[in-house]
Amino acid sequence: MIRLPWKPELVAIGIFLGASIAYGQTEADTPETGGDDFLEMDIEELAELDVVVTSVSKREEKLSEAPSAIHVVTQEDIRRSGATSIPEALRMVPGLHVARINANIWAISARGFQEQFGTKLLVLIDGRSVYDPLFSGVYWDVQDVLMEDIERIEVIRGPGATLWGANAVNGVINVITKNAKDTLGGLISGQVGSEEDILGLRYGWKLPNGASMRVYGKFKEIDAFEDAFGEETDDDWSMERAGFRLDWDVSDEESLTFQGDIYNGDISNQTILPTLAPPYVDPSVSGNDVAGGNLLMRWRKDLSEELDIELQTYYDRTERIEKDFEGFRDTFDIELTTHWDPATWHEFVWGVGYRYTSDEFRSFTFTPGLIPTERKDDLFSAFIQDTITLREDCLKLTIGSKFEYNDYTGFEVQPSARLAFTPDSRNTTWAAVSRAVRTPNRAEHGAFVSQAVFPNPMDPLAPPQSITVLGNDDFDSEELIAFELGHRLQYNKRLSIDIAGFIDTYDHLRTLEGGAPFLETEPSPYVVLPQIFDNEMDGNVYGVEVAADCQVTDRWKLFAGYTYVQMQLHAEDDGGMGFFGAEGGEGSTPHHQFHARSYYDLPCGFEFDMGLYAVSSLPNYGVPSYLRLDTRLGYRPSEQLELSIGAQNILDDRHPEFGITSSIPPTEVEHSVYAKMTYRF
Amino acid sequence: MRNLLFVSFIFIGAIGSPSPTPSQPESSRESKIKAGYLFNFAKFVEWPASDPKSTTDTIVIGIIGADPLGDYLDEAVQGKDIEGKSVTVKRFEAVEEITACHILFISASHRGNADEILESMRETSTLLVGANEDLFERGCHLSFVIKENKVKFKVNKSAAERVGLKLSSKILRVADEVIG
Repeated sequence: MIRLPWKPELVAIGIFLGASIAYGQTEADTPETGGDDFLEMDIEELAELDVVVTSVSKREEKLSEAPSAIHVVTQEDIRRSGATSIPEALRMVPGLHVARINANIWAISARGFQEQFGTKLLVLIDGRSVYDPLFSGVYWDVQDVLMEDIERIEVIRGPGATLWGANAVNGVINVITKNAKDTLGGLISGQVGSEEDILGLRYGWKLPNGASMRVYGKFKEIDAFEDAFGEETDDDWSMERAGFRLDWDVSDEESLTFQGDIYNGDISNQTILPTLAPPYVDPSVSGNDVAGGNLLMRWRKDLSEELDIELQTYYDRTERIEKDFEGFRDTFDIELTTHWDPATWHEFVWGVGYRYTSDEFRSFTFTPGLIPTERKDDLFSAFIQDTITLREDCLKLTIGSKFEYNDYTGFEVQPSARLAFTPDSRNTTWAAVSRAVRTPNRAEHGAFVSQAVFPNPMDPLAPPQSITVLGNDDFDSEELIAFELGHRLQYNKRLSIDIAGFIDTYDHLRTLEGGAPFLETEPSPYVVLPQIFDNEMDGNVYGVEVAADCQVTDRWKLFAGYTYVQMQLHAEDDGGMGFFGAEGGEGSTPHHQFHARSYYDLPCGFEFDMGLYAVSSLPNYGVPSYLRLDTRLGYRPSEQLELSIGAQNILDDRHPEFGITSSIPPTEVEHSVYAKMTYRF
Repeated sequence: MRNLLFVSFIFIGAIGSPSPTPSQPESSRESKIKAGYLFNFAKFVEWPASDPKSTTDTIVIGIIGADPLGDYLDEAVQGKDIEGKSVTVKRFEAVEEITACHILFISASHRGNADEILESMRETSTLLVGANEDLFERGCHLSFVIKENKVKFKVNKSAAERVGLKLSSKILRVADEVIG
């Protein structure tokens, strides 16, 4: 049963009011035609125009007219924030919850449901999905690129399932690296600091046939964080990776891209595992080995003025060896996408895809277990979407649906309808209704994982008891129907404002339900107290995301964003354990998040940048609210050299950002300093 | 770094096909932005008083080569004026065809004979705008460059001033890079 609470209607009314006020205040010299007359634009305006946005509709589109809540993290944002990894770069996106659990684990989600393996967020790097079907989440420790190679990160909050498939329930993050022709020449980037040491190398060159290519290497070592008492813990890690990218513009109509990466790392974490003999717990440190690689090819061709096709195929391998298990996964994916614009008022996108994934899982101790230990899955998908221009340069309706067939739940349909109203070049109002599903993962169907073991309270000589999470073959997809409304205003040349509100109604959310105890005899007798995955929770999540971008003066740019999220979940009988229950789910995501950023260009090539983050508390984990301030001083004496020093999290010695979820205890994010040099030749 | 340095450089051998000079497939939006810039350059450049170009009542924007921005510019300049002067667009395919124009835009497709074009235009006070950085290095006064998903441009101030052109501070301020 889904009840719509009354409060979100107020939120929606508020947005309507806000939009009407915004209309009233747009400047008198708003051009009359809704279209874009580039010759009428000021030279400063032209310099600020984005050329393309690709994730929203799988086609090039002007960002300001996209009918979605979209935010782009630019290379400049990455450079000036001092972000050294993708998760850290995502902190500045309105609507995204980023919590660093320890030095190598992040909990990232959008619009609620923050957890270590945030299940409802699809993450892609250059079109390759890095969403792991074992836990429906992302292992952020191995998702890395040379930060200087990132062209932009497009983040769409809200369901992107129609185009991107199941699991793009609350958002899609697309990390896009630069075309090889934009990275010619050499680059050396070195950073040392109190927490991180990073070395990056890259070299790009042109091939005889006109194609461009680059190769890169990145090496990093990251120190352990401290615990609440200031004692250093054991979550240090190091990663090395290398890769290449080749881009070839075969002709005006055809282009080809090849790219690949390989990586290898050592990750240390204190891992608390239950054991079957006293003291029933093994809290020793696990030294984990991670390795993997991928190879991707993308081919695009304009068949005519109206029709173009794109073929993308990739292979991805991941290996992870921890103290209690080792897991290997091979993924092969192929997708064909077609864009067809038969008349000026229809723009079709459709595609078909196939993904094959095969895994092996071996446990070294009695827990964790996965049944079966090896599994091969096929995923077939097709989608179609049409953008209909109802009124030229004014009103566009985008409707479409994705159809998938997966090996867990069979057939899934994910339709959506989006409307974009652009009365003039400064205002866009958009609204959307969509359905998205989060399909089951390997663990939900086959887990056999002990959470805690304790001796029988009546008889210490009897077999011990284990609270064990069990998979369920009938575990179904989680379902979302989302209603979204947003407005984007280019108030004047210097200021733009973006507001997005949403009401998400969920059904079949994951819970754990108690089951009948039974005796297990391997490896030694113990009693299993089952907690079985089920879909006994529903509820609503609603909220609003506001962002403003202001070029205050020629030298000073400000950005501010605020996110509000309220979750109201209802479990059939307040299902089971801790955070899987309704209250736990509600209390794992901060209600309020605020972020502000300032970039100031000082004379003589100096830059002073600051980032402020305020996040409210997580009642479920007892994590208090925190305030974080990062600062950076940069110096660019020439095109070739860039130096910078920065101090991060300067308001605190350390603060926690998340609580304990899996077997790894959280640690606290410390304050840190760094010095960085980038040399291009 | 505890483990062996783990660097893998995958070398793809020269894909040796004598393919035609590859031009970059350009989105129409990119072309429109560049067209907007050309119109703006015409607004903010002063031609030398001694040259008839500063006193004519029509501003001519010339385009040599197969650049997609030409079609958009052709249409978009209809009915517009710069300080009372009308604007026309002329297209050329070969160096010999070039007649007097205020601004000459050199497409990427003409990279091959860029030196020839620049040589022939050297004595004239025509503003030379190149489609990419390669043309900038060969001597264009301005050229476009795509940075962080935006179209920007570079300026060679001294080269422009040498032929008597005066660039407004507005252009210099917005430029991504000004040399000379």
